[in-house]
Amino acid sequence: MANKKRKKFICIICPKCCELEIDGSEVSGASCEKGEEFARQEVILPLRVITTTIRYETKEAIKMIPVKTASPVPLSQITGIMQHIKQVQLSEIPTIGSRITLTSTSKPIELIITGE
Amino acid sequence: MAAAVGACSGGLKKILLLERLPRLGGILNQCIHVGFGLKYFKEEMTGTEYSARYKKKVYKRNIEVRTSCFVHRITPQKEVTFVCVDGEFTVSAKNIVMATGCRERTREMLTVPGTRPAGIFTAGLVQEMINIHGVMPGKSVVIIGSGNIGMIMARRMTLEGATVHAVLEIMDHLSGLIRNKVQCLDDFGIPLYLEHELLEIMGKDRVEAVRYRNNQTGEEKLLCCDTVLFSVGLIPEQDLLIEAGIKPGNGIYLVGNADYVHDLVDKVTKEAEKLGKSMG
Repeated sequence: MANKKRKKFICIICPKCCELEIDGSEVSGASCEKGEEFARQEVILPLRVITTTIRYETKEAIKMIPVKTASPVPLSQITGIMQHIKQVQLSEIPTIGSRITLTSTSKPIELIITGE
Repeated sequence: MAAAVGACSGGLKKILLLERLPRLGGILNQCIHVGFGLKYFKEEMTGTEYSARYKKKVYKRNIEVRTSCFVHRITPQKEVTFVCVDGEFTVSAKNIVMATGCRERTREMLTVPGTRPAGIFTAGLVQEMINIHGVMPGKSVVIIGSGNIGMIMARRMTLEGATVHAVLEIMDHLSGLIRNKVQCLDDFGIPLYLEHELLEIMGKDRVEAVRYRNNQTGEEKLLCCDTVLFSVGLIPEQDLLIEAGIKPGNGIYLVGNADYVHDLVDKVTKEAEKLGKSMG
């Protein structure tokens, strides 16, 4: 009988794209620890980093500010979180590496500015 | 940038870096997604972070950087002519490195039948429109070709509220990285149709539909959409050399995607640094 706990994934951690298989907590096919962690997390709750932009608009110009979530967020919540990110108003152009905290979400989400 | 940094490390004293756009970084500046830097900087970063980090290396060194400069002629005698706000200049060099990247293959190059309405773009152009200019080119999208930029834009447009109906790939396998299929298509339920060929683009003023064929079964279908994105390959930008009848060699080099298409910027950086050093 096939084990229901057995699942297969393609690792998305790096461009190697390892073919992972997880059986309970046993991971095979990973060529690094990060891949094993990815597989274990993927069966519990898939997490992804969101990368998007925030609009900074003045009378003179529009500048798109690239951001990413400081840590991965649940895949199923991405669409909802995007709506909150869209609402962010900036009073000035933030420096690369600085952080913005989204407080309108159920749990605060930290965004990192990724561009100049 | 990396060739200039390499040349500087190799001991060259006079290095001029000419960039067509107002800032250094090239295509990285519109790559807001992660997946860069794991090899070179040993950390996962976005294209924009990678470019910003690498730019610091350039500005720390004795490299003359000129942005908004359009190079329009290179001669076999290694003279470079460029235009900028101050006028036209010609400089002569011992070595010339062409790090001009790629152009995208367009609909015209595929000779796709049909009308020529608004709403047909290359994937990289849409990436620039959304990530740099904050403009959404359409709401209902079909992507032709399973290149990496196409898949990344499938996700990006979905995040921005568009509906991406499908990615059509004429070959029997994915042309980009499988991780991009997983995190850009599968994550958002966007179907990938392999061995499917675009037959016609329809629409009067704006794209209204595409007609395509399943090449395994021969079945033809219509798919309504207002936007078609092409992600069907990149062509190294070597026109300046081709026009002048110059073959690379004798101090004229191609590097990075201008030489051949690379999967990873990290590899481009390393190759270019090595080339730069070898000139010193």
